[in-house]
Amino acid sequence: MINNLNHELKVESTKNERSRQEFVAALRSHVLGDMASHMRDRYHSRYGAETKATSGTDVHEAMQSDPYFRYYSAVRYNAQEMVFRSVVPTIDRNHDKLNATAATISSKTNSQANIDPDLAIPRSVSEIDVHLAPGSYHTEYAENDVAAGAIYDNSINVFAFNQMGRNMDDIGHTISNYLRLSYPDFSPERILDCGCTVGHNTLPWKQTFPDAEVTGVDVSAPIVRYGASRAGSMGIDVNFMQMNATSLDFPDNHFDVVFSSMFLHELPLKDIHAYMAEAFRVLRPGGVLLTMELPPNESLGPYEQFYLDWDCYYNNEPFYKAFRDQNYRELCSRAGFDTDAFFEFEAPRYTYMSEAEFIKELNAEKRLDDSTGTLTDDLRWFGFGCWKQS
Amino acid sequence: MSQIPLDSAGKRPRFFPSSGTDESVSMILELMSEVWIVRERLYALEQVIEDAGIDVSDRLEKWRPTAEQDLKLDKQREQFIKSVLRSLEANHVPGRHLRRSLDTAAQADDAGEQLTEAVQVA
Repeated sequence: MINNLNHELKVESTKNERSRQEFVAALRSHVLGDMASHMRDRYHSRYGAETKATSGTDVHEAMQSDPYFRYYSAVRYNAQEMVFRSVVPTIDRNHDKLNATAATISSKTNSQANIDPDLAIPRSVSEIDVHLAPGSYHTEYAENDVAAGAIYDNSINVFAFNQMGRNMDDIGHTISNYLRLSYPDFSPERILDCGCTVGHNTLPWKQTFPDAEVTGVDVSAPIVRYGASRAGSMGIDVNFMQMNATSLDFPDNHFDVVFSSMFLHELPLKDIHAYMAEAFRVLRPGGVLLTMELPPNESLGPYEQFYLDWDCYYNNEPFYKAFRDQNYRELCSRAGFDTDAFFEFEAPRYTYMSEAEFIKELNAEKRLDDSTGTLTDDLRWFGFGCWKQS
Repeated sequence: MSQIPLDSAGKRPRFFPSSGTDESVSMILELMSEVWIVRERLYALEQVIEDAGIDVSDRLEKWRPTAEQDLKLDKQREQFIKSVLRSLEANHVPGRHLRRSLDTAAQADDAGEQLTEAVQVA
């Protein structure tokens, strides 16, 4: 049984809607588990030796006419559509009530998002329905609307089939605790999360560093409105602002940590460069850029490259592969960071084990493979970062 | 307040060379979800009734719908068929898709222009 949302913005599904959500979550688990593993074995036994593939593109070419790849892709694509089809009717039916509840919570808990009505929505969001989300991230259907936030929150709950934490917040807990445990003398006062969506991975920073001021920014008004209200409902004090991370409205040297998760792979390369330069600018000397992402293609074998790049070709995430083809150290260097202070890491899921186990796994030998960044039981998150030298 | 769309905009990819296979996969998966929903509901319903001390199987065999119930089932059945056969409905929003994926960093840099192109083509 999949998670429930643990806050007051939860919309009540009918029994049938709930069954449909459970079904879609199970279908995704099946295609990313059983079917993905059959497909990998099939590739290695049938094509691996003879194709002499050196890149994910070579593997993609070899697999494109394979019947199993076709069924895998068709089922996975349909399952992604069905994620949204399983949650939108519930939200649509409860839309007025949802917006009213969000407004009440925000005013009661003093957790209003800071909205910028003049902000131009980047075309990478407005021109395509990113990862097949109807209306993409930003569409507003009513005044002070939060529906896009609810769609995101509810759909990721089905999408993740319990692999991303109780509040879909494991990435935030894992990366913030990685920082706390790896650098015990570092005590951040101001933390920024860029492309934060509904803040599911922003709130854990406040939980890990309770004395810090934590801010999340995103280009979508309905998403940050929902995020602020969700945080208010959960009693966690975080600022939400509608802002484009490629042009941050903060002074130089302001933050101790600039974080993002699953964000860069949705951006065109020029926006990635602009974001990295802004992150460098707003970080104080001695502060740290921390980026949770999918691992770079250069660190993976051809099959694993192909496997992760599926989303670029078939999930309306057109910038995904171009980002993963970059050298992450060079991205930092180009933005002004001294790459002697560059680091990358893998971490197991913090909320799925004891802290002692987490520390033990952190210190284990690094092993990037096909369970890095993919939703399997021994999932580990990948990250990279760079200190801004004093 | 406008209704939230159920489907993402743009053309769906085709994975199979033979015509019709992609649609068949969608139909089967939608059908599977509908069948599951019914199985789960039926199980729950039978448990609720048994808990109330009623012999379900005997009563079910004898049950007949009223005219009103019959009409309701007619409507639900129609909706069921539309849903299972959704890939054959011409209801996908036109436009807004990339005509090709972006393989290289250079192409991604030009993505803005490609998006414009895609919109114009639609």
